[in-house]
Order: sequence, then C-alpha cells, then structure tokens
Amino acid sequence: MIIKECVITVKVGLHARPANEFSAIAKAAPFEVTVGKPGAPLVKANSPLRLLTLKAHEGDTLNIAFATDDEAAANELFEKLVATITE
Amino acid sequence: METVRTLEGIGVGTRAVRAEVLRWSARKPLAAMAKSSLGGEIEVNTLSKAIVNLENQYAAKIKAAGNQELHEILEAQCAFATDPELADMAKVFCEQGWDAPSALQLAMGEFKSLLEGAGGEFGERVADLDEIVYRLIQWMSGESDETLLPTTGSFIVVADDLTPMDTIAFTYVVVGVVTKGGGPTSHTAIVCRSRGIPAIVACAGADELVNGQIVVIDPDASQVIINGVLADSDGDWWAARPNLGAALIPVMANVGSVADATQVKLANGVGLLRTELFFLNNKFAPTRAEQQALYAQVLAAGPDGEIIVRTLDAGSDKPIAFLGIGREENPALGVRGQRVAALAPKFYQDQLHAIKAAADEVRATGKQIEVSVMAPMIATVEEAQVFAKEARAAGFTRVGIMVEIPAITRVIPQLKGVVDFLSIGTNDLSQYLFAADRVNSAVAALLNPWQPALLSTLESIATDSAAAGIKVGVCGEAASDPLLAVVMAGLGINSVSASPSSVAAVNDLLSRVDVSAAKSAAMAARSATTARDAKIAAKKALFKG
Repeated sequence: MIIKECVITVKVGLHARPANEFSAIAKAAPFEVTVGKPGAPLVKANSPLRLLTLKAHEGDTLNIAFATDDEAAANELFEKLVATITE
Repeated sequence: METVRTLEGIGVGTRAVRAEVLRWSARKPLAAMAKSSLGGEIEVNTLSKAIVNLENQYAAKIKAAGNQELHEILEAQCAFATDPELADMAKVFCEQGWDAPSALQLAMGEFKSLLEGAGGEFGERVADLDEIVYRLIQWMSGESDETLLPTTGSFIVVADDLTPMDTIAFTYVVVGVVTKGGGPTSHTAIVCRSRGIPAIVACAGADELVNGQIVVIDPDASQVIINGVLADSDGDWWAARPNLGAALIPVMANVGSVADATQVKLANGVGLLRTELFFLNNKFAPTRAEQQALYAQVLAAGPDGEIIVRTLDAGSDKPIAFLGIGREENPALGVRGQRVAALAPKFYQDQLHAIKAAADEVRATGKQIEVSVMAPMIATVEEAQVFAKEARAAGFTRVGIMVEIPAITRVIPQLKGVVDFLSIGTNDLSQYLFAADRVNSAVAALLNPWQPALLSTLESIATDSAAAGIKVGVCGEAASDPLLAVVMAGLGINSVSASPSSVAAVNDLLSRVDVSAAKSAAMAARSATTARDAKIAAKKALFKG
C-alpha cells in the first residue's frame, strides 16, 4: 500500500467533471485506489457517488492510497489523478 | 375583459411570446416502501435492467446535448446512476427482502444522508440523486419516463423547476418556459438560451399560472403577463418589414463541435470555429494527426464558404490539462488565449499545420471552403505580427486576430498589412472594458451588450478598420441578437457570426433592413444613456421606419 497526499485546487471541488475524470482513471487502474481526507476513512476512488460524499472543496487535502507495491505505477497514476483536481 | 396581471422573474432571451400555459406535471410521489414478493434475485435483476435502460437514455441525450455545460451535467448524472457502489448497496437491501424501488431508495438514502448539511454545489447535487431515483423507479413501474407534450400547438411550459432531462425533451411546441426556481445561470436558463426559447426563471408567482391560461412572457422586461397581449413591437415585430432578398451583411455561424457544424448548413460560412471544446477532456496533448482528423470532421460537416478557425483559446474559465498553465490569482488577466503559445509552442505549431492539412484534405473532396485562422487575446501589434508570421508560414493566406482586449482597439491603424481581418469578441471585450467579471452574476448588468460604451467602441473599431482596409466582423454572443446585429451593421461592421440557433433569426431581420435603416438604428442606440434605452431606441427606429 502506497499513500500520497495532494491538495485540490480546482474551484468546483471534487464533483462534476473533476470527479467523473478522477473516478474513470481510478476505475481503469489494475489495483484498488481509495481516497479520503486526512483522519477520515478512505472511500473507493472508482465511485463518483463515494467521491461526492467526501465533500472535498478547493483547498482541501486528500490522501490517495494505492493497493500496490509498485512505486512507479502508483506515481504514474497519482499524477494522472492529481491532474483532474488541480488547475 | 380578463384582468391583466404581471409576475416578475428573470428574463432569458430577447423575444416576447404569447401562448397557452402547459403545466409540466408535478412529479408523482414515489410509492410507499414495500417488501418483495418475487425474491431478491429477481429484484436485483429488475434494478440492473433499469440502470442499463437509463444509461442508454443518457447516452442518447448526451449525444444530442450540443452544449458543453449541459453535456457535463448529463455526464455527471449518468456516472452517478451507473456507479457500481449504488447497485451493490441496493443489492444488500434486495437480499433483505425489499423490492427493487425500495432498495434503490434506501441505498440512495445512504448517500444522501452523507451529503446532509453540505451547502453550495455539494448540497445541490442531492437533486441529481433524486432525479436518478425518480427515473429508475418510473421505468421499473412501467410508466412513461417523459412527460408527453402535445404534438401540435404552441405552449409555454410552467414548472417549479426543470431538470436537464426535462428541457432536452422539449419539442417545437414549446415556445416559452416559466420556472419558479432557477436563476440566470441555472440549467434551465442555459438550455433555453442555447435553443432560443424565451424564458422567465426565478418567477416566485409561477404557482398562479394554470393550464389553458394565455400569457405573454417578455424577457426584456423580465415579466410574465397573465392575459396579456403582445404589443405591436413584441414577438416577430419585424415581419411587417418587406424582405429585401439578402442580408445586409453576411451572417456566419459560431461552431464548437461537429454537432454544431451539422446544424448550420444555411449559414454564410463560419465566423468562429472554436477549437478548445475538442481538448477540454484531454489529459495529454493530441498529436498533429489526431488534430487533423478532428478538424477535417468538423470542416466536412459544416457549411461552405469562409471558415475562420480560432486557435486554441485556453486558460481562464477553460482549463486545458496538457498545456501547463499554472495557478493564477486572476486567470482572466493572466496567461490565456494566444499568451499560452509561449508555454506550449509545439502544440500551437502543430495546431496551425493540422488546420491547414485538414482544410486541404476537405477541399480535395470538392467542398467549397476557404479556411483562415485567427488568434484570441491579442493585446499588441507585435503579438499580431508574431502570430501572422507563423500562420503564413503554415500556409494560410488570410490571417486575423480577435479584438477583445481594449488595448488593441487603440492601434488598429498599425495593423494595416499585418492582418487581413479582425473579429470582435464582445463577451471578453465587455469584461475588460467594464472591469466586470464574466462569471460573476453580481456585475452582469455591466455586461449587457447594449451598453452605449460598448456600441461606441464597436463603432470606433469599425471606422479605424475601414480606414486601414481591414475587414471586421463580430463573433461574440451579442451578434446572436438580431436587433443588435442590425445596429452592428449600421456601425460599420462587415459581418456577424451568431450561435447556430440564432443564425436564421439574425439573417431574417438583416434581410429586412437597408443601409439607411441600419444606420438610423445604430445612431439611435449609440446616443442612448442606458443599455435599456439603447435597445428601445433601436427598435423604435426600425419599427417606425
């Protein structure tokens, strides 16, 4: 399990287009991806409904967890995910 | 005589209409929760069939949306409906003995409870979740999922609020819309504006309206008038003016997608072919060949004549992931439009060559098009020179720039010999001229395109361009207002480019005026002191004359 941290900078927060793209990328991953705010339980990143319930706004920090030991694969995916929620 | 009363709201559109009220049937309350008599497996199966059906419905509507914002709303709703987490959770309730509609409500209820107390955009999404539950249950109970519209007649649809799925189902019998909820940027307003349907939104008194009542809706005055009559100057007031056979100036179309392009066969070319919508969802820069294929598709689908392609107008409210635009405090005043070319020179080079190659490819099939390019957000003559040099090197003979930054309007004489044409983007020009953010509804009144200061600016651009021998068109939203298009012609603008739904109306009014009528309307509007008076003055000049 590899966990990485990022900050949302898209104005709308994690819903609408950013959430759709985020979940689509997570869905295509060969391992499970979960996400949540620090200190709160992580939810499945491939679910737009679960992402919505995070109520993650611009400026919020997110932890993204990758169920893999492959550092390179996790990094690559992390970058793609971050691109959907940053400007 | 029936009493005439007025209800206030917020007007969308420009044309007043008079028709019969058709109340959009309020949603029936959902059936009470019930246990299944068929067993869990059958209930799970029923629900999954309903979800597949809804997904197909969304797919068809998304295809037909033809509007970026609506497109995204529908896509987000579809993603919620098809989320496996929803089906999985409902399955648990089915296995506990609930029937499929009940299990669905219980499952969605869990997600809704997690959103409780969330204000703003997150709170508003609860309506999307309710919409999905409603549509799925309607299908499962075998009821029609569309409110049936009459096939003949003309109606003003009245509702508390409308969902995107409702509005997209409107046929030609819907000539107007009134909603109790909503605002100038709500789903309803966006769809009505893009389809040219006049509307009054946020109309608190809408409950008073009943089926069969005859009402006038006047978007200019933001009023619903019960038992009202159209004034001579409302509705298609210009029908009395004889048609002179041809528009005073060419009416082109604004196109942003293949769907748009197929709609505007009758336009006199394309005055603005936006390229950013092709890339909004791309994480990585498309290759030159991929770009060429996209442009060739839209050029082949569109009208004949001159086609003006605008190079990528990214930044500000149109983020494009692969360009590497940094976070900015004031993106509208930052690196956007042609300024981005310095960050991603390869993409911009590729784009020019891909447009040229696509143009050559489509011309080789025998299609009569002349493709030229223009750059957005040019502030100085030097920037125009840099762009023109690159565009000519890519093989273009006609090159232009957008006029949307006030600075460039002061140096038009120096553009002689640099560019062949100018295209005024009224939306951004207003934003910068009036220091009023386009996305802040609190300052929307300053962005009214009838503001006399904007009209006077258009006039000075037209005068300077004529002196420099440069053609000038208007491709902003403002040119979609037929009356304003006539005023532009009177101010000396050489062509207008309107949204696909407005091309026919703009062309019609421009075919009913001659130069002197257009000039008198222009002078009347330009001398007014307020936007409202400018519009009234222009109408009066034409209506009398």
